[in-house]
Amino acid sequence: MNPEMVAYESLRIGDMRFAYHREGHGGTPIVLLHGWPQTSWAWRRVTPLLSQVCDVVTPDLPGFGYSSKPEGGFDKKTIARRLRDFVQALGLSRIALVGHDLGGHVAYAYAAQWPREVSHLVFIESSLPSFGQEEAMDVSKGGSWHFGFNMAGDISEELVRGREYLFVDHFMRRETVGLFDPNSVSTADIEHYARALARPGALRSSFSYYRTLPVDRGDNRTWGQTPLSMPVLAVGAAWGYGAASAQNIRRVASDVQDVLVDHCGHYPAEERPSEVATAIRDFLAKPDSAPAA
Amino acid sequence: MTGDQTMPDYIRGNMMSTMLEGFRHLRVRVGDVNIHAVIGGEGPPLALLHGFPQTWWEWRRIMPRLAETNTVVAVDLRGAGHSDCPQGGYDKVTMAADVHGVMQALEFERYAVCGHDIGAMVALALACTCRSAVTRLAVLDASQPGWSGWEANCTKPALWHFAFHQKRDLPERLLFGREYDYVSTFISDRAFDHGAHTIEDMHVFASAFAQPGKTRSGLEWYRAFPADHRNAQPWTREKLSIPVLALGGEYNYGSTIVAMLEEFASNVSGGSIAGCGHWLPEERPVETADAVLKFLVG
Repeated sequence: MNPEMVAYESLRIGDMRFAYHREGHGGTPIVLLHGWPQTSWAWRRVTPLLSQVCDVVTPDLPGFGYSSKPEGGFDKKTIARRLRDFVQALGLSRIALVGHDLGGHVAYAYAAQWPREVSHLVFIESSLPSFGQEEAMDVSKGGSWHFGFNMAGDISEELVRGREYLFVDHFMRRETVGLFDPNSVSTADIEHYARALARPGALRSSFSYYRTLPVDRGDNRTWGQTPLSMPVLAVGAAWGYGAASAQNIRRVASDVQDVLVDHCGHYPAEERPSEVATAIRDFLAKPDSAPAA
Repeated sequence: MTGDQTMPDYIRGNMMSTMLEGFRHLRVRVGDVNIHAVIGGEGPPLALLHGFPQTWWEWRRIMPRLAETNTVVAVDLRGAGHSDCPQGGYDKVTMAADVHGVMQALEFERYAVCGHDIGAMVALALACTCRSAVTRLAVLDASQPGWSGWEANCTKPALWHFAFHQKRDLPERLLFGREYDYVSTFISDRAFDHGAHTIEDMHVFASAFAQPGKTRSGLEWYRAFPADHRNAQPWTREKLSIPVLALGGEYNYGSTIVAMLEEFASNVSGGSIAGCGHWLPEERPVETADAVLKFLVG
């Protein structure tokens, strides 16, 4: 069997079908949220390294992969609520939560709304609206063009439709905030993401994660007034956002440690899976600071 | 039934659509670039410079009227319409030199210039670099590199296309084969009066944008913005003294364009054209022509 083969399970919650992979029943429950424009496939190399000690759950976020493409509700507050329903339906109440890229936005929204239900937060190559992401969006200061493009409206879907491979390949292999080693992710892997993005509703959903950023900014400002108290690990990549992930999350959390992965671009879970898994395992070994009450 | 009759009217009509009665088409060589110009009328010379994603055809509704009292020269900018699209030279100073070269070749020593959108940037660059040639400058609904608000303006969500067009190589791939969708959406999204552009007009602009090299060169106008912004800085310290008319569409730049141009010129008039988006000569041709004609004789 291909060691990278991933089996999916499905769970239906209300109008939403969640597709997910689960392995290593019995250990610390840990939920890993992929980024944009990816799917839970992004965790294929990290999952086997964590499943020895953890109950690993990797869902396709609403609108991505094999999960449903809802009509609306792409603000991260709503996405996090859907995700919590999913986590509870799995019979889990308190989890370690890992988010990469836009998955980090969702993970923050989850941890901020239900801090007692998140034992540890891992924030990988991500940013936070209202707390530093705006700098990555400011094209006059070298920010990326794709924020405006993704938020532009129907024309974004129209231009990318049928060209999903070109689009994903561009992001993963671009010169800045791409992979450090362009071959660390195979053409077949990129095709996997491109096919997922080609499913009906997938482009609309994926761009909707950007179109709701103004809503997220408001929610984050509200939540940010109360710093997260659970331990937070920020993982940055030298060829990705660098120190920015840690800088962003420090503005909303009081107990943050960080690690910077060398020779690595924006996709540490695929480029440096053993470093990422080791960092997470060491971090989870930290005493759980669960509130007594 | 012949093959021609099965063709939709707007395609059959296309063959004739980019011709205006009383105007003739020229190809003028400026340096190593051929520039397409459409000329007609009598009186003092007036150069018309179109914007993105258009061609000289954006002036079709006001050219006959302007030509009653002016010799109108509507050019296709470097990279658009029937002009050449070389690898480089898309900074607005070089594009302005193309226009000046056309006017010189036509033996117009001194002339007025009116530009819209990217053409307004070229028009300002022309007025600032050929100060003895340009008698009057009219700019229609555009931001200007060198303006104090330029950088902040570039980050506005409505101007997402600035960053998209500046991205190298990828936009060409995404736009290929979808020129009509892009051009028609681009125009509609920025229009207030949706009666201003016929489907035929959209096809004229989209087919021009789809010509080999023309998509790339239209995007190059934006990729030159950092150079344009640098080049324009000194102009704000040596303001134009010629009369300047600045008009904005009520639903786009509006009267804010007057203060913008006052950073480059000491004698600015103008304001907002009511009931109008970004496409002044097409959405409000009568009001636009009135304002420009009044300015030219004022």
